[in-house]
Amino acid sequence: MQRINTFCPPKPAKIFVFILFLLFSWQIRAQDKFTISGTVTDQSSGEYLIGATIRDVKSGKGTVTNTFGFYSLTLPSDSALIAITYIGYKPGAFQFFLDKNTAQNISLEPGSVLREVEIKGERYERIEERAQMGRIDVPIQQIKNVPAFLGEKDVLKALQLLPGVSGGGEGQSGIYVRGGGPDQNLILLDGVPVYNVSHLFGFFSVFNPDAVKDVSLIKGGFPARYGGRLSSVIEINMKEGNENEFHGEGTIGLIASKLTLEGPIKKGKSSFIVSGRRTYIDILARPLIKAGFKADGSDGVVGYFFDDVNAKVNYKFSEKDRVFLSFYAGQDKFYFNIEENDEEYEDRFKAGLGWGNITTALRWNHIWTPKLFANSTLTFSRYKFETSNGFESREFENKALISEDKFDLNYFSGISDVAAKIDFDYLPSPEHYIRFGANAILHTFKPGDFRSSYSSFEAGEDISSFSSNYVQPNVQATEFAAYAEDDWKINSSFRVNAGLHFSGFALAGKPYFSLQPRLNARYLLDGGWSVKAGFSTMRQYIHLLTNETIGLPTDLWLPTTKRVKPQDSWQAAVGTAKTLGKDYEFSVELYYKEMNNVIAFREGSSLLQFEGWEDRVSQGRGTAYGSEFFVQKKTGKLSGWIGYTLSWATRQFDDINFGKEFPYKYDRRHDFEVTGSYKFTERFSLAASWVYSTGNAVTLGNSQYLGPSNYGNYLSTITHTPKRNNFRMPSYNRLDVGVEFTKKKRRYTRTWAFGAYNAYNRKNPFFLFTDTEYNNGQTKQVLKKASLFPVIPYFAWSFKF
Amino acid sequence: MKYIFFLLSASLLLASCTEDFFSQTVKIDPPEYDKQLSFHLLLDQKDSAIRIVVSRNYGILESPESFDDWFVKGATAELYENGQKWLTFTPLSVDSSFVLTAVLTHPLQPGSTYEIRAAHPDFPAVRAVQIMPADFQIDSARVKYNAVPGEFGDRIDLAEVFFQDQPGVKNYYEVKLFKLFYETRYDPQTGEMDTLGVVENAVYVDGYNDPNVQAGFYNGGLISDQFFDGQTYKFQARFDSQSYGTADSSIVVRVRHVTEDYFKWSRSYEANYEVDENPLVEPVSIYHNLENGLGIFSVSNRKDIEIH
Repeated sequence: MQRINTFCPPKPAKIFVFILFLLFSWQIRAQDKFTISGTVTDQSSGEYLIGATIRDVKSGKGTVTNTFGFYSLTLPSDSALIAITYIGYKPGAFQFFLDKNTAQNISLEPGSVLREVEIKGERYERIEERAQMGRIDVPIQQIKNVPAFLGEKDVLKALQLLPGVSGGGEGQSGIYVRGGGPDQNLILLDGVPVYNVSHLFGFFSVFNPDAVKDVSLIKGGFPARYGGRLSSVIEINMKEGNENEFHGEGTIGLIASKLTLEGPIKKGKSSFIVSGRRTYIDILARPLIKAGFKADGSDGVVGYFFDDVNAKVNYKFSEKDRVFLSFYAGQDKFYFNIEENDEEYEDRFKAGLGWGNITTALRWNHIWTPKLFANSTLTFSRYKFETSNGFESREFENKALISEDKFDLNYFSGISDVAAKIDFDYLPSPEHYIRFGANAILHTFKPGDFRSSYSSFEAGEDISSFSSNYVQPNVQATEFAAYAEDDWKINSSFRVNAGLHFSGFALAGKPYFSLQPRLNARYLLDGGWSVKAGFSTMRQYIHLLTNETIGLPTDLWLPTTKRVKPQDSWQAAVGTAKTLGKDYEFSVELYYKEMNNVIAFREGSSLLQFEGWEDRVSQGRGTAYGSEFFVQKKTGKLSGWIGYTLSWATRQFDDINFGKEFPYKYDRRHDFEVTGSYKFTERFSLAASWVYSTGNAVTLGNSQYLGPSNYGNYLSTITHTPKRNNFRMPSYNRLDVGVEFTKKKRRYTRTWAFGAYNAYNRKNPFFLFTDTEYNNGQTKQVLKKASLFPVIPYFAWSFKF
Repeated sequence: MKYIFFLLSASLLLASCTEDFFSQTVKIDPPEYDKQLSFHLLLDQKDSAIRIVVSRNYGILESPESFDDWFVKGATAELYENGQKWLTFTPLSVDSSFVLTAVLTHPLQPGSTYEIRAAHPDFPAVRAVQIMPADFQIDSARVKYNAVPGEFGDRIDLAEVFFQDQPGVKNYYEVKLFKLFYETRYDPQTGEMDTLGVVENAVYVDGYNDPNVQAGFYNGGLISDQFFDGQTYKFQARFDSQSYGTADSSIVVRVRHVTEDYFKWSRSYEANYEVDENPLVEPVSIYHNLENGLGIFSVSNRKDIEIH
């Protein structure tokens, strides 16, 4: 018998509370120790610096700043020499006698790229020192240096150049991390999940790099503070806005322009940043398109645009309290309207497609004690997709209406979240960095509404009409989580990050709970090498039904239900890391990941069928393993990275491919990428990226034979497909190059950027098709690959003041 | 220098607007394949004379010059029962030597193992093994005319079949409905209509509304006993008998206890037919059980009930 209306904590919850108790019970009040704490900011803009290193040179003890620039370092009462370092900034240091808890905010002066050419950054936390595996931080300037399609610098496209990450291919919007699916990435903008990150059918992402301060990617060894997705966490933090001076930057590009303004609202207390961009191909091409329609005797317009806006304000109430309000809104719209008129008839046809996100975050930072920092967040996120089409047709005789037909079809779907969370950072000693917190999300799923209507009228006859609405009610579900983790420096060589993540999901009386242990360990060897190992389990309660084939943003986010189980995974990784020379970070990681209850369309399911989704999906198992090699140089005249991934990814579903395992569509045996920029002078820089990857696996018949016809006693030709994803598309490779000319003018700095996407015009595969060729009266079937982009040059003019 | 880059970019941009740039297609090599024999042999215990049409496969881009090139002449085939050679197929005629025939000397036996072997010098030898499913009983079957609403608001018919599932083993069934047509001729001597023969017309089923049932080959409703193991199962199918001639002719309900191989083949064959190279539909692979060949060999236990 099912018990209702009572709540008994599930077993995983009890275990979680017990371990939490153990985690904190070791605390013994330290005598004669005091804490120095505060924030580290950029001297010129007041922006918080994330991951800056604060180290007592005498004792060697140190810590790093969190996402809000906060640090806390507890040391014995003694004279202390504190050194502060951060990549791209001149190091800072101060000496004093620590005899009481001390609040000390620190500002670092940027190592000016324009003045000094070379970025200084010698003593930040080295890659071999970190316990966490699978994490890559990419400085936003490095992302901006990567040559981009049509000159539009893009955060996610740059991340796709990292090992273990791929973008599916041209014309595809997903991001695929270590053999995971496109729904398994938690993409956070200022802590808010963004559900659809694509503009222009996946050619651009929704993140405007001018408004972004910091980007990090975690693809394994997940710390306990993250949860809800199986394969990656992409954390993107927006700038806060310059709190000292008013600044702006903008770009006029081939297809889009953007403008960012930032400055103080009240100096030292409050600042803002607002950034917007819009494409204008639709506006520029409109006269040509209209003329084209006119030449065909009709009146019409077809267009596409996207726009987005990021805005953020913050207010510092006191040295202990600061509030941030950030907002993002973006939309894509495609429209097609055509009208043909005559004395005898009027025909109108219209079609539209639109999708977009809105996210909002209200965050409150509070420093409870010098050792305890808290961030409380309220967030809202909404993604919606809509498509519509219809026609109207009228016929006249002697100007009198004699018949009329009307048809309209609309489809809507989406998801919205309201969430609250609280995260604590507790630094009792330099050896421990404890994080704990909890969150709750109310998901509202809109699985899809179809509304169609048709009416017909003919003179002398009754009007006939019908309307058909297939409205699936909104589904609400609650997801909640709590976590605790400790980054523990056991001794000078051994460091672990251990934690637990507890999560739950409730939908219509069917609760699910999960306790997910996480562990990362690092051991420092002689010679500056470190060996690392990581293990994490993850659970995901929401699923994405997406169309990976034709690039349309028909994303349908759906909940775990009684029939459709949550996705689970575990991942283990080992690796080594070392900083080579002064500033080359080198790492190798081997990983193995197993995923259960991954979701896929059943064989024969139509991608554009929206109803009855539970009947059309299958849940199965995914396996991914491989090795990743990565060399990154973040500083100096030359910066960039080289990455190589050797990997395997498979799927197995009971009712797909007759239950046999098959290669995942994005199984890439080899994935190689090199990207770099070289700053020759203050005024001239050159950048290039080259990528190579094994082709995607696709399902393609390899032979044909005769089989019984389904409806009669004759034979018909049947295509034989040996197994799912049996054929490899040709490999993908591409070179992008770009140069920038920068000049400091009296009031501003301007940059001309020129470059070419796909510089050697590689015909990369987009899709395969069979074609018939005629030669000397003979016909021959051939297999062809269609490519999307040839060499595409770009130029852009940008300014900064 | 920036002006040089500007001009270079502008000229490249203009060049990229030419047709050659945007309609980029390149020929690539098709997937490799192995030359194989192909045939389909679906047997049940009511068969007496059987035949197979032996053909071959071609590459996905190959086009045989004539339809006859599909067929393989000179192949041999044998049927084994419980490991002993039972039948040797013989060519239908010299011209149609790709059609191999045999006469069953006794009905297929439940629980017996049957193996088909076929060979040709130019192709790898083919074999497949099946175990004849157990006997079963249909408890009852009935047709309710005009019993349920159809897709367009009209009233259509409902067929109901009750049969007992054998517990403890995985069972698969197929249910098909046939409408019987009597071929008649007027006999001037007697002044009456003579019946020349009876033709079975497979009835198209409107729907099942049952998660146990999936659409199979040639209007078959495929059933797995996964969710009703050992119980009496009630099969229901909606159909429109009016679409198949006179209302007074009989309906035959044919239930077959089939093998797992047949279940997989029939389901995938039908799904593949429905997909029909639609790029927006997930691809479907057709199941085969011929080792080194393409096609299906299956044996089934069949029961018919005629409803007047």
